Amino acid sequence: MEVNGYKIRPGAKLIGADLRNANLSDADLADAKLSGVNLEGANLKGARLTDASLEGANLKGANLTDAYMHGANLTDANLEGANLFRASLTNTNLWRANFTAANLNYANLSHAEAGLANLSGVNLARANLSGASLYETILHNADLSYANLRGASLYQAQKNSNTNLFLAWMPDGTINK
Amino acid sequence: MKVNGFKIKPRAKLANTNLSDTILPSADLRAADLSNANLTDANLCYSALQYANLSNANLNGAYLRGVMLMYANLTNANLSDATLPMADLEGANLEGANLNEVNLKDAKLVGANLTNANLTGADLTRADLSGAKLIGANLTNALLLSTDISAADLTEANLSGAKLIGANTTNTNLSAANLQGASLQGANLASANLMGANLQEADLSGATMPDGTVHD
Repeated sequence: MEVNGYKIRPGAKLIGADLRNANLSDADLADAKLSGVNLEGANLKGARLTDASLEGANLKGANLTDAYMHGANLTDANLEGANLFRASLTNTNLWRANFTAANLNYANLSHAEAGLANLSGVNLARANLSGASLYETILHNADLSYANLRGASLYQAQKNSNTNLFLAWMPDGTINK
Repeated sequence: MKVNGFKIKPRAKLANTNLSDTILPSADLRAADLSNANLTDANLCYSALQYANLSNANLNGAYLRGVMLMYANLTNANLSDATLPMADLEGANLEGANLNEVNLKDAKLVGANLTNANLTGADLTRADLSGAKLIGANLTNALLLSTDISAADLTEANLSGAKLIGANTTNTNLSAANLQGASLQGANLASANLMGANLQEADLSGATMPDGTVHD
């Protein structure tokens, strides 16, 4: 598959590539080098991004519904307003990533490293965050209702009165009421 | 199985063939002759290539996740920008190979021969290079995070700017190696050989030196 002159394939080297609004649904980009890539508004529905490096990538408003991103590195990536409904983000590195107003409803973030990430206004309802690290993560106005936070670390996580933890499964195993 | 008119099978004779951009996942090419073959951007993930002859082959940009290359001959092969996480290269001969910017995360390179190989900017995170031969290899700016280089021979290797945080350096031979500007924070170098090594501007904070002292 070729898009905008770029070969879309596992292990592809696409550092800094311009793939704005590209249609990459169901694309296989496992292990791809995508740091600094511009994927703003791209369609990555059902795409495979396992172990891909997406450091500093721009994924603003991208559609990542059902995307499979196990082990991907999203350090400093911008995912503002992105749709990650039911996406698999297990064991990802989300250090300092910006998820402002993103949709992570039903997403799996088990064992993700989300230290210093900005999750303000994010829909994390029914998301799986078990074993995730949310060190100093911003959770202002985030919806974490029914989310699974068992074994997660919320050390210095920043919540406000609008952070919704209704019936969330808390790190200590209790159900929040 | 046939690709581009060539039979893909163990011991296949594919020397000098053009197999660039081919998609051959899980191919059985054990002991095949692929010397001088053009495999640019080919997808050979999880393929069996043990004992294959890939000398002088061009594997630039190839996708080789989980590939089995035990005891393969990769002398002077071009693997620059290739992706080989989880690959098994135990006992492989990579002498003089070009591995510029290669991805070898979690790969097994036990006892491999990487003498004079070019590993500039290579990612060797968590790879097992125990007992490997890296004499005169160029590892400039390579990532060796939690990499096992125990009993490896890095005599006269160039590791300038390389990151070795969490690497296992038990009995590692770093004599006359260039470690200028390398990151070695917290490394245990008690049993390493650093005779004649260049440690200028290297970050050794918290590292245990061969004389037993702990660096500031």
